[in-house]
Amino acid sequence: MSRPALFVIAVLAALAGIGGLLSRAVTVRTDMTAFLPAGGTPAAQMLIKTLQSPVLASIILIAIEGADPAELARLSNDLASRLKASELFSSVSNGADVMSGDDFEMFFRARYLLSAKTQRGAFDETALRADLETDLGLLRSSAGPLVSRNLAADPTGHFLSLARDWLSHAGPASRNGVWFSADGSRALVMVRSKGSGLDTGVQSEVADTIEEAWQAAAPPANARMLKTGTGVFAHQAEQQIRRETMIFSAVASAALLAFMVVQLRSVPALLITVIPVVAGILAGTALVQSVFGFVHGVTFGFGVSMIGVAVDYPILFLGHLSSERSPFQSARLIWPTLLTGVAANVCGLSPMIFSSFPGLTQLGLFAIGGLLVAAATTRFLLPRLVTPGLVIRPLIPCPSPGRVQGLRKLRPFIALPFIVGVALLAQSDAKLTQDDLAELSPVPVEQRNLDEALRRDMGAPDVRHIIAVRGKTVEEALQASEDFAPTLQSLIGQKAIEGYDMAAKYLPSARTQLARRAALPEPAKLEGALTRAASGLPFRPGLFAPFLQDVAAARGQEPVDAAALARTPLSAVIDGLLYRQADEAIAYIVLIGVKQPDAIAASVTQNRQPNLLYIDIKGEMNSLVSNYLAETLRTLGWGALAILACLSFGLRRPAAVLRTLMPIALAGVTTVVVLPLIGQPLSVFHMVALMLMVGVGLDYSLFFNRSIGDESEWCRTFRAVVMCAVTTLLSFGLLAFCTTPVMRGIGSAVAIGVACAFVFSLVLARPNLDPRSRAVSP
Amino acid sequence: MRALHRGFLVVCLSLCLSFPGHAEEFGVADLMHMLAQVKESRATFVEEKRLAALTEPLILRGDLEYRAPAHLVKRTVAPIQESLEVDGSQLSVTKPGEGMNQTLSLDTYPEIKIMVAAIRGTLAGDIDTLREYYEVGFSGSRPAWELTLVPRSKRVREFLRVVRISGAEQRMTSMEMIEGSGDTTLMTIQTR
Repeated sequence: MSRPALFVIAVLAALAGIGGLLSRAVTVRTDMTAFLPAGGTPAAQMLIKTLQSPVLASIILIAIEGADPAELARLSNDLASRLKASELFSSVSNGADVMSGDDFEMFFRARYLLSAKTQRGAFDETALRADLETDLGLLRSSAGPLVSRNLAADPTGHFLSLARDWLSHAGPASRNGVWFSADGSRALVMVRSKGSGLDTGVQSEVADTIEEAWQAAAPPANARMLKTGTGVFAHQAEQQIRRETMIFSAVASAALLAFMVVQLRSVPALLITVIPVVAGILAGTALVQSVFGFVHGVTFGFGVSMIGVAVDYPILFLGHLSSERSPFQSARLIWPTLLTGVAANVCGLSPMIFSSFPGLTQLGLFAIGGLLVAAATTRFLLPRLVTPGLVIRPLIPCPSPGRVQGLRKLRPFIALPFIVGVALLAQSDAKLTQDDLAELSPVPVEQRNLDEALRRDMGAPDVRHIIAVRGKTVEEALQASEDFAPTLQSLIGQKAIEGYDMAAKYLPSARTQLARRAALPEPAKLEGALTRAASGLPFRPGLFAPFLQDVAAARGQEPVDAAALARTPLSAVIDGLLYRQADEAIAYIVLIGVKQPDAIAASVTQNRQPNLLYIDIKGEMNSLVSNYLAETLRTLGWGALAILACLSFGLRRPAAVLRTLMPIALAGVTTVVVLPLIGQPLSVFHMVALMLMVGVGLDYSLFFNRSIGDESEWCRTFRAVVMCAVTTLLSFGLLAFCTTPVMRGIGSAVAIGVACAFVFSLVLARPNLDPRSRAVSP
Repeated sequence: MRALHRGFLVVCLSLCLSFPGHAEEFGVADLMHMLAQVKESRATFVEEKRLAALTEPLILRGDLEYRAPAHLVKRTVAPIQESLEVDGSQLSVTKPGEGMNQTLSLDTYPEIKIMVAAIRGTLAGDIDTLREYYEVGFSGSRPAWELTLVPRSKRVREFLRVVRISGAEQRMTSMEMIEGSGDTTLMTIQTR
């Protein structure tokens, strides 16, 4: 075998080895929080921290439908008991057996500390008399059984008032003893996984366990189980990204391979093409892994599409091989143009590195590293691997330079698509920019709608407006939120909000509980007041002895803390409202029925407490997105200037720079106008992809405009550029069919842009065929 | 000849005795059948509640309305004002004095559902519903009958020990409920 051939095999083997090592060292992550922007206002930071809270994310709502209510109830109970047995969940609730006997005992015993009814004066003769008369009235009414059960121990109704406070917001409807949706078509189960909702490994196991439990419950043929929740979304997103990346990689590789086989018709040439591409991907992966410690799933998808760009370099090299010179000479000949192109590409991609989306930084780093390595490999390694005399003859027709000059007549028309597009946009009501972060999520619309519907059925309020109360400890946070309660009441009075919910409602601060304890009267005083209050009322004497005992016992009780509530059903509510970390606790006040957000913001500012933060979740997220759109546009500006500098340095003559840059700039603005028209409002990902497209398109423009010796050289260049364009279009065009918005956005923008860039460059090209004017040629 | 006459008399008598209608074998099925014929009725009631916690019974007065098969209204007039309306599986509680109106589903409150089933099942002559929740005992005859209902479920028996419903012909005259705690409610009904 010839030396070059041996080299090729050796190089491929080395690449395979590196690839194997790398795959062991690389960690892949697929949660979409990598595409959540970092930084921003304190509110935004708090928000992101909350969204990433493993506890909030661990809730899963399960709905069972497709059978009659009795069967749905049976399935609900069966599923719930199996899930409880699996030990993977910290809580499983389906409406049956809401409180265990022990829980009831604990709450009953702690009623005087927990209930807001305990105040100074609540145990005076007047107050007691009022309570006793209320009791009599209730005993006469249909609510009698409710009261008579605990009358002896709780004549003041502290426990009932506690239950009323807790249940003040609507919970799910109940039929056949379990939770149902309002229309009775779905049975509902709520579970909380022990592991984090953002850990896809945990969520994968959870998903499997739920599925197994469902099958074991022997559901009838038409019954279906639906799941929703952050963990479910993350799991589904991961599955989808993985599936799409695999399908896309397979199809793109096959298509590219087929195309290259037809054009090259030479196995050595094919293998040589592969080398810089593989080297580039491996370099990109290694770079990202070493800088970030992990590689995101979307980066892989994007990375595979970069094949379409990296393959340009070996194609350009192979395309310029000629029987009249050595491979080394061919490489040297095209290197200046190639280098300018590489530099422009890197400039074009650098805004991605400075983006505030960590995910985009990864993509940028991957692309830049990959391209640099691919270009270097092409220049320095490939010539050694080529058998001298290897020439490729692509099956692509080549227009004569005269025909190309003739194309310049079409110059004015290349602005047409842009003008037409602007006119169409001005007329249509197509959405121009994508501000809604939800639309950028890979979770499909049906799934998001299901989530909304199930949350409504569960009676969970739509959490949009919250106030975050920070404290060094849980006690501090609870106290601060209690201190803010009077302001909240006045907001209700102003009709700025309809209501609120806070952790302190269920778990009062120790300070409050101790104050209540101090308000409990001495046994002798209480007995006296009670006897006087009961005089004339038909209560059996001595009936209230348990009451006197319980109050006396409560005077020595320790305050209830979060740990005591941890195993009760109340923990589900409290966990959603209290976020605990080593050195910080955040208590959330959820505002319900918000009518005047400004009034809330004003009252928080007036309060002047540094640890209170008002967050309008949806508003904050959307402004984050528009801020980043604006920021990206700014960095794009810098990127464009950098490209201009590169080109000026490389081409030297302003006319040449203009001629090279114009078609690409036009392709860019045409793409910007076409995307909203085809139903893709401009998002950050589109903007970023545009810079990628500019870099790629510049390669074509540069090569079309370089000084070329003769017609056969022109044809080599033309065919090589066409092959580049086709491979880029194939890979990014296929990406445009993915359903993940990130990938689809990037694919569409690059595909449209590259197609335009190729056509416009060709029309504006002025290939310099004069052999004498080599002096200042690129 | 005399023996023949006596024998003939015996046969006649026994034949007469075996005719239905003469023998007054009035059973629970007959009672249910009779009650089911009544599609609508109105009555006033006096309810006496004896609670272990109180030294004297609570007396309530009001009126009742029934419409087959599942509509029942109990309107308490004195000493408090309250209206309980059951229609199918929905229960509405209205307290006009307090301006309170609440509707709940009986399915959510099995205890109330069972109590309602006793009175409504009897008025509708629905033996199946009664037998679903209770062991049904019957005694008496058409002019004075009594149904004794003991809940089947042990859990229910903890709060409701027995329900005794008495009546005359197709009218219910009284209903007594003895709760697990020992409290009793006796409702005397006067059908208009």
